[in-house]
Amino acid sequence: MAELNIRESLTKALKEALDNNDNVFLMGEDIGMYGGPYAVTKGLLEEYGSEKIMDTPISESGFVGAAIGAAMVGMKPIVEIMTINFSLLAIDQIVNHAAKIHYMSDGQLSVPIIIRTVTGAGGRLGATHSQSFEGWYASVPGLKVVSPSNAVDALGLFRSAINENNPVIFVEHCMLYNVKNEIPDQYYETPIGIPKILKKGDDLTLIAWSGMIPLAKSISSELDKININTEIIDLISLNPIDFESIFESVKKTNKVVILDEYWETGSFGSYISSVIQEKCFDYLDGPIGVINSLNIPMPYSAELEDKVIPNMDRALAKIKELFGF
Amino acid sequence: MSEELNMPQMGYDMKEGVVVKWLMEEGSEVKIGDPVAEIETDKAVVEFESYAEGTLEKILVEEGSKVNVGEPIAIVGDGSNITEAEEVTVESEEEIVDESEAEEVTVESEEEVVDEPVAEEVTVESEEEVVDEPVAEEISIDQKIKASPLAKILANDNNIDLSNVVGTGPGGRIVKSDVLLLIGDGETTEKIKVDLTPKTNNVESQIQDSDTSFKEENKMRAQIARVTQRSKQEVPHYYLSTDINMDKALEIRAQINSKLAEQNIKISINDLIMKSVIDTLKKFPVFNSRYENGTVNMNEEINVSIAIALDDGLIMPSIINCNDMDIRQLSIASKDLVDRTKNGKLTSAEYTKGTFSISNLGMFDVNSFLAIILPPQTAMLAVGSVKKIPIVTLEDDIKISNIMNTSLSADHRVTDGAEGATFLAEIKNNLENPVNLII
Amino acid sequence: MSNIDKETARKYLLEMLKIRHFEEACGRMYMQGKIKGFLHLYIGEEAIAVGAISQLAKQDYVITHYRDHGHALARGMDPNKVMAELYGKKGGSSRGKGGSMHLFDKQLNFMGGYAIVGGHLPIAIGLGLALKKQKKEGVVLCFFGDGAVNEGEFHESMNLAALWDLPVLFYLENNQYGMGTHVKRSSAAADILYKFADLYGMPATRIDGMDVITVQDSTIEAINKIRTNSGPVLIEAMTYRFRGHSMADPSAYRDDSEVEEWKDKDPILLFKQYVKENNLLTDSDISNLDNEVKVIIEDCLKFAEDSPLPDMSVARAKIYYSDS
Repeated sequence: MAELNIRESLTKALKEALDNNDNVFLMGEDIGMYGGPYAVTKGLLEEYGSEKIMDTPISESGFVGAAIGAAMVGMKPIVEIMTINFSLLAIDQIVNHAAKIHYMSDGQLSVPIIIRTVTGAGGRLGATHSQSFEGWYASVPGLKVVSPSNAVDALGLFRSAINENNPVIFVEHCMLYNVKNEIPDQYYETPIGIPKILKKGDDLTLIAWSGMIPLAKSISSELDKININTEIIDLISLNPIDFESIFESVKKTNKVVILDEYWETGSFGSYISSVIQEKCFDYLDGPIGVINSLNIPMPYSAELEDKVIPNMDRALAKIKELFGF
Repeated sequence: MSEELNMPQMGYDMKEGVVVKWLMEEGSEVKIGDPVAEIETDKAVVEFESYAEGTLEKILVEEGSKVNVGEPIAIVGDGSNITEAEEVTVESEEEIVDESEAEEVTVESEEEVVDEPVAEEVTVESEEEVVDEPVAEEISIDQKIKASPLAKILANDNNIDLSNVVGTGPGGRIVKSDVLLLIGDGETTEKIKVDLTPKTNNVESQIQDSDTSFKEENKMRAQIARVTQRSKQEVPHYYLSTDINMDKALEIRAQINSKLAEQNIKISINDLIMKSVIDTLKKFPVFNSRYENGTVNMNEEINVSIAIALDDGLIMPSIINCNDMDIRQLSIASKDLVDRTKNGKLTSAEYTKGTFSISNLGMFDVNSFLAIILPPQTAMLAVGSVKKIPIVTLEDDIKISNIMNTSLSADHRVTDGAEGATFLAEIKNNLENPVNLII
Repeated sequence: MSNIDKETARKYLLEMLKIRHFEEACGRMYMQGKIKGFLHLYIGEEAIAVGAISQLAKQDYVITHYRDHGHALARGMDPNKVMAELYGKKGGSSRGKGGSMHLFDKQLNFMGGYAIVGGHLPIAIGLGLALKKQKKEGVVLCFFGDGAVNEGEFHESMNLAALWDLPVLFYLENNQYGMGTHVKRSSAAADILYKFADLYGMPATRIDGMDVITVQDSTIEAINKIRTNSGPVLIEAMTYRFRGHSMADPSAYRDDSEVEEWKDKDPILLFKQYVKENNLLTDSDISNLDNEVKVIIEDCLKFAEDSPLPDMSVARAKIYYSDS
């Protein structure tokens, strides 16, 4: 077993995809000569050449649309949108074309593309560079959205995404690239849509994804001190989601808290909460809590950013308010 | 061969249009594409080009008429059908009335859009809504109890009354651990089996699948189930039985009945029992009380409930205020009650205000039985059949007498065995010395 | 202007008449409530679809905007399937899920009509990019209107096409109006839209889009340029739509006199004159063609009418690709 961080596992994933598929090519801003804004594509231009690794102008709508067009006729493009904040420039192509061409053509045409993008806050990058829109894309029928929190799932989910014939938004978190894990030597895939139980527990179900997983783990350690045994569920995929394991967990612990880096209003976590409330109502021993970023455009100052995003203090206070512990 | 020209659809949300102006007269030649009228839509005035060819035989609506999309406004044919068109204009006027209703509908939906803040209120209310869960009705849960959905299910399944439980959850919410403690398995939390098969769904499907008579029985059955379950759960019953020698009572009855035969009144054993009970209640009013919220409240009126078996189930209506009724009046009143019960013509008070119940299964040849008290009543008398059996007299002789077993069920929160015994003894005494019933 | 033979004349007239009659039938059926939603008719612009698409090979791609019936029919889509699609029926090209603005036919490499103005231009780029990477012969015929020129995606696409040397023929159908706004009121360079190509270093011409032979000639020239140089080309074809933007549009923003003026340049009218003057077709040939087309249209109306309604299983199908 080798130990790789998320960045390295993604590089490995991309190389695998390029090696095994003639029709795979990469597109994105500064992925080639610059070595990739997050160094995920470092060295790939030298190894695979400019036909396969295409540096694009700053034309998100243009090159995402181009990826869609190429995918419709037999190519398998992997497009990088530098951050999810910039995906707004291409949201028309993603939502109105990638998600819908298969449907509107009644299956005649498909759009097998992977859009890699980077979400989240924590880098002191200010209001326009710290947002988390993966929930938006997850609610669009026709798209699939995955979001790994560790190197094992990053590699596994990417392999599954390459095998999909559907548009997949592959959401990486800006603060997790250095998370290191043991990667199995033998080939494996992480199925899209099956949440992962990272830690079993009887007293509280804590659901999170992506950048919120480290916080979930910290909360769990803290609750251990007062003998509350937390079950941590990593969603890993926002669309599709197989809720069975979540329901099983709720039936066992009877208490649920969801961590979601998006703002409080209309967050994806509140959708999860709503589904659990409806399906597991009789098993709930308390209200379902969703802990979000405060409804504030992300301030630059570190002092302030750390209070706006979900943090330990706010999470513990909420858990106490809901359940008394 | 003629074809109707219909109000055209000229915009994806267009529902009606107004014929502003006819550009042709009846009798004109029309080719496909010729403009025949000017139509006003919400957005503009547009020329309506004919899609039929021939002669404009009939104009069906006047200028200024509002017509629904798709309804005919003219007829184009081969020229053979040119006639007057009066009736149709009346129709279009009616359509105008309909359209104004349709407009109201659109206005309402705009208002709905404005009311978005309602969503916030709903989340607040839902906490209280959780308390109103229908499952809770089977136990006497006060509407203001704060308990988690899980706690309520556990309580219900294990016959725990939550009304006096103090919850340890936030804000005093009753939570699972509180209920588990009451059940007694505070440590073995996994062992409580919660049956969450949807009960309400079964009842609903029964109601949907069956005809009305089954529906009624279902309701009554459910009511009986609720009441008896509640009684059994809440009321600490104690029971006392005694055998009553009915020889003299039967004799008196025969005498009274021969006297009243001309008036068509026939006294039953039950009437005598009722009189005895009423007299006894006057002497021991605590058995005429009601138990509510931990308090014993005395009833001024004596309203005796009698058990009447209907096809659908057992019902226990009361004779209201029979404190001062003599045997004859009691007899009339009880017959009247039975009649009206069978015809479904009881008053609300008769249904709900009983203070003491008598259940007589003598006619079914039942020797003895123990009745379930009807809350908020605090006692009930169960009467068995009158049987001829040999008894030992005071003189140690054997004699055949008419013996009737009667059992008292009483609420131990209100009375003790000794009091109950005295009460029952008095009833027995009245029946064994029926002259007491008359004076 | 080059000469054409009888067969080509017949073909062009048949195709243009087919589009004209089809569109007129759509207009009637929309007013009768058979076709719903938005309906954008190509009446007056037939010369472009027919003149340009007739020059394509099987492997070439056509991608267009929401006024797509003409392009779809010119590319060979079955009028039955198109009309049934407009009727929202199961026999439609997308079984009722696309509608007027989203006609697709993979077999004919008709890559769709698109409802977002300018939105399909980047997709056209992608089609060209794939052709290059797959080392296939082929051009992408990408139709768009004067309104789309002001979308950022037009400029992004022009840049990418030129930067990457893609085999895309940008076909700007300038019918003077972006919905209800005259091109002069929305484009600073309204009079010289084709000159945008200069900035991106690609060849461009502006042509009379009402003359099918002119369209033919310039399309052939452009395609040859693309096939030899492999870089993109732009053609601005001047044209006019005789009807409103869509069925809901009363064209209040246009003068009747302007419409009449352009109706004198009706491409079908002009071509009928041309073929008669040049002894390519007789009056009787022409009226035969008219009747032939009338039958085709009657058939497709009947087909659409008889086609069954789709059920919810159709609605739930093909949201995602699956092997089943």
